[in-house]
Amino acid sequence: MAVVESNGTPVTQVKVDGEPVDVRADETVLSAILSTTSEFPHVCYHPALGPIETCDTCVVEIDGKLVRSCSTPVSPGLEIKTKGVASRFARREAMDRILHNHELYCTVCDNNNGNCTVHNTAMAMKIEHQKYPFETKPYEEDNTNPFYRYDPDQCILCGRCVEACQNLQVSEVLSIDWERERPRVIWDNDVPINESSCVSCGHCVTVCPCNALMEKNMLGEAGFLTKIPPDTLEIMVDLTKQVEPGYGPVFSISEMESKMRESVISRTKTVCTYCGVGCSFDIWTKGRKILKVEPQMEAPANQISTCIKGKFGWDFVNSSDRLLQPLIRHGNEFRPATWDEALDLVVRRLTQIKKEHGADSIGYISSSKCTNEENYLMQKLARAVMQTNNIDNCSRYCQAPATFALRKTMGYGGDTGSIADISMAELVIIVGANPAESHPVLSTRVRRAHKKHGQKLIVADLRKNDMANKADLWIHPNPGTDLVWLSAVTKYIVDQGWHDDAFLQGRVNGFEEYKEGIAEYSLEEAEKITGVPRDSLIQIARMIHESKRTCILWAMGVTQHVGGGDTSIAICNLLLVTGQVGRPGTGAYPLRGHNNVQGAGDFGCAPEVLPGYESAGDEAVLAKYEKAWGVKMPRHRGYNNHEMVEKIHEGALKAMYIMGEDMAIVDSNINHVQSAFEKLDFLVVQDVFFSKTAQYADVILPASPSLEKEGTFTNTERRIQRLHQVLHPLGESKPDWRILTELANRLGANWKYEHPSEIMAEAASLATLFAGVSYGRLEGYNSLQWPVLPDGTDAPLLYREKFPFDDGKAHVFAVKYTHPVTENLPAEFDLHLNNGRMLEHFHEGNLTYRVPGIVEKVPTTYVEVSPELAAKRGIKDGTFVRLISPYGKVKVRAVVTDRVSGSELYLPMNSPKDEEAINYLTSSYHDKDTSTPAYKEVSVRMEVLEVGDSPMQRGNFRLGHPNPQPGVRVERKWNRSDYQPLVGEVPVGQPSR
Amino acid sequence: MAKAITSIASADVPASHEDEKRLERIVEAAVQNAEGLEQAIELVGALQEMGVLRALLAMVDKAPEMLHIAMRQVDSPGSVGGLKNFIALTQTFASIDLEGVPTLLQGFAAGVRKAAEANENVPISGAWDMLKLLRDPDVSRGLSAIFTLLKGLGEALRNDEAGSPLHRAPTQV
Repeated sequence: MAVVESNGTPVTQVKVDGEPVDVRADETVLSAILSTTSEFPHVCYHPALGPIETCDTCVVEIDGKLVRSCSTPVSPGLEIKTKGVASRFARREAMDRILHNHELYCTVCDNNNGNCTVHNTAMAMKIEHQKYPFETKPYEEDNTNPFYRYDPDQCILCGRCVEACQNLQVSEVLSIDWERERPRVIWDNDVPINESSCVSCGHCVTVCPCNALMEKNMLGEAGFLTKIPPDTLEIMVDLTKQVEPGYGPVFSISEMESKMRESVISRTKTVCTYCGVGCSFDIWTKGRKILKVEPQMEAPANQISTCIKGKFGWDFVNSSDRLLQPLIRHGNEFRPATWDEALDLVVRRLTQIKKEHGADSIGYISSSKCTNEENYLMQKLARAVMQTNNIDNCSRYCQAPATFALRKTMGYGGDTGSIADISMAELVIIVGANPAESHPVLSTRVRRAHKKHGQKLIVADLRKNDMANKADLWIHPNPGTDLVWLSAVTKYIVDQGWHDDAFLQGRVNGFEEYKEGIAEYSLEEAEKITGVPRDSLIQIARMIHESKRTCILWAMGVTQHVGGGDTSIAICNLLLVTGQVGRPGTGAYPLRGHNNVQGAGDFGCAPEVLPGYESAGDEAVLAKYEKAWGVKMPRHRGYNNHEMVEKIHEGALKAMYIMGEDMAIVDSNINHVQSAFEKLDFLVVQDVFFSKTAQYADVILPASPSLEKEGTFTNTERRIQRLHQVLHPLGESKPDWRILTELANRLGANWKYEHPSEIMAEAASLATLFAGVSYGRLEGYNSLQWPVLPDGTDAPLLYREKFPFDDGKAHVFAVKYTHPVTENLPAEFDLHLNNGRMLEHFHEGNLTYRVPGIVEKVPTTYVEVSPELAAKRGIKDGTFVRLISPYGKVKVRAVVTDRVSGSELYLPMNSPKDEEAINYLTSSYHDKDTSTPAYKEVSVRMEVLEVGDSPMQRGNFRLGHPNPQPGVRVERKWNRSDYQPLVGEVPVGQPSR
Repeated sequence: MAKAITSIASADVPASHEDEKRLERIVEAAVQNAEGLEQAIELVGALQEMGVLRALLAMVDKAPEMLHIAMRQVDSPGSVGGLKNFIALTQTFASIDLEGVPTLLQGFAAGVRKAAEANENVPISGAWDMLKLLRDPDVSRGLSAIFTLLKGLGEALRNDEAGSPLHRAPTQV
């Protein structure tokens, strides 16, 4: 009889050793067994990877046959026998074969931390002696990668690492060379790890069931006896084996040693501080040493996935460059000061300037690097304490146009679904984004679905980036013309009658006006403006038409234009017209760039909105806050960060308080910004490092990074997650929420926050969007995706039934094409300069250039030049060039690559040197609706200078040659002449019991 | 007008008054015990370098759990058997009359000494020689001691049939 779980999944019943067990119908025999006991062996199986079938340790008997339980699906009434002689013999034999490849020296192994699969399985199987003695393999350890090592001697050839690399991360680097006398894992076509295309994402290390792949930070650090030199260690291991009657006592000692480690090593859950994907994981520390990052299956956004930055990019926390004391400008230098002295000065000067020039003469910049609670306090400080709406954050620099478009068309300014929806889509369209380098873990879900599950992928980008290389269709629109092709495709869909009429009739307003509005976007016109062939546009329309579930992902390539808001609306229009919203596997996904850029906007750090996007101009909302905060709220419209810079130049803004934002580098046209800062009467900078912006400060307040505080971040899925304090604040630095509280109280606020949970409780009590958010509901790996109802019900997928407008309907709006500003520049600026991120570094690089392993791999930024342009101008890898725009110039080295084409250049924004920063070249032009700078509309001329060394050094994954495989290819193992199968008919003479 | 500056004066933040007083006391005590402290620091450094301090701290911190693991291992059949033998031996030795032991051991030592000295070996060329030796008072005393030992052993074995705690049924395997 078909039974279903509460979530609709059918359930079936099987028997495990005669006992009935209910299990989901799509599960395996192994899952059924594990639901009855956790002791049942299984080494190569990992829930994130599925069956790999290399180890044979999970063999059971079904219908007189021995089968691998990990790859055998359940069926109703299935009788599973685990205790028969034949299956027990097979499992034991399988484990013996594993131990032939792996030396058990657990007590002196850095992986002896209670979670070693090989150790735990050997113990659970009560292995006392091994049938096949351990034999070394004829290979050296590979220690070339700065972050992890491979020890072939300890490798059991389970293939988890290969499966993770080939089919989860899909970098397609690792494989097992099964045909060697002693097989081993190889990188690319068997090169040292650091010379391969390995991106150092850490998946392989995370899934390794033993110590073959280990984080280097763990080696010699995790155990009490693991620093013993190898020669001595060898003698100890031999001696132990000789005198011990069996492995039992050895395991006991290693268990005790492992238990002791718990006293020294802390494991604390945190949320990544880099991009907006929102990876969470346990971070292992010993004192202030960071031993490793261990992602968990419970992590809602990433499970076991990480990228190079999340897995290995944390050294900046202990950097000697950290600001450890408040600093005060004194003549031509900064002098250290006490907190009292620094805060007193801030209070005195801000109070004085407010008194002399009014509350609106001071601007406040909050930070996407800070927590939701800190962002809430920053806007509260500006509004409730200092009576101004001059508050903004860096979402203005990136996704404000997407937020604007989504709020206008669908209602909420956030992704309409979850990463899981992107995974289950039939078609993913990526516009102006390179998630493989900017949102690495999210991109793995697309790559996996594309490789394993037939998901279709369209990429629209100037560069032939990694996702474009994998795409079914890559189009290269002329810069800044996405609105045109998006509108033309939508028009073509409507013209063909492929639009979702029922959805439009029932759930969308404005379709008739919209149809008239897009009449101008014919395929011919679109081809003329965008350069995208008519046939490609038709192919896109057809692919959308044929897909039941479509997601569109976009980022800065769309938003950082003078028409960025309108192009975002065009994306929303396309989704609404085709009914690709509000169902699993569909939706709009503006990929948030920073860990908490979503939260900084959500919690009211923008001039026009209070927390939860409630209008700062709505009297009812203001009355609510006035009652709660006991203050008179400001009524004046505030300045956004772009306007603040202009107001400084105009003399209207006299002081700024900048928290966790290096505006002097990351804002556009930074010569203009820096000259504005020189005009300020008073500047407070609150930061972790002595940033470029800090150089202009009068007072610098040392803040603590994410690992040193409690709080919450909100990722691109609108998912609120808790981070727990891993380390104590370094020096005299303090978490931003503490600094803001102390400052507000000195300004007379009487805030009483002792923990960020109290701040969140206050925000939740005021902002409807977060009504049900509480720290209690966010314990451990629990998370909430807003809007959250008072009872804690959250919303992983928005708009299932209605849109949050009065009549519950969405809106479509025809939008006009705004020509890029580069069209009006003099002809001398003959090259288009695209810009963005590279995988290894983040933003201006203030964190990642303080991670030695990352710097070893990618020591500097560079400009990408197409082979045809390089040939024309005589440029080679390493040639220094000067790029000159109407606003400034930079000198960088070139890399010749076909990732860019024609007269288009690409300069990653991640520069270790201020003078190489892209924003010396960008302009102050901005999106007409949101003031987001048009960072992507840059034209330059290029001067070719002297020859230099190539910036693309050994260790850079871009120099490698991936080796795509369908997976671990276990059949090659089974085909070996020395492989004796352990599955099949139960052997005669071994009756089942 | 605030031009960008990059120079930071070196840190020189004064400690609080109370901290200063505490530091003075510590320095005074350190001077009085300089030699010992220096050696202690050297020892601590060496222990730290070897990782011993960490291990000791961890053992103290995790003592209950470690004891549990140790007990679980010791509780295995093999270990239990070994432990019981060890305890039995200990008890046996404990019940021996210690006052008599030295005399016995001295006699044993003298015998060994004589045996070691080749020229003092007792010549035996047949059964007659052995019977003659039985009349030797020294040999007689030695035999008496051996037979007394055997008698004690026999008595103990007899008691065991009545349920001596040292000889219960074999351990279940």
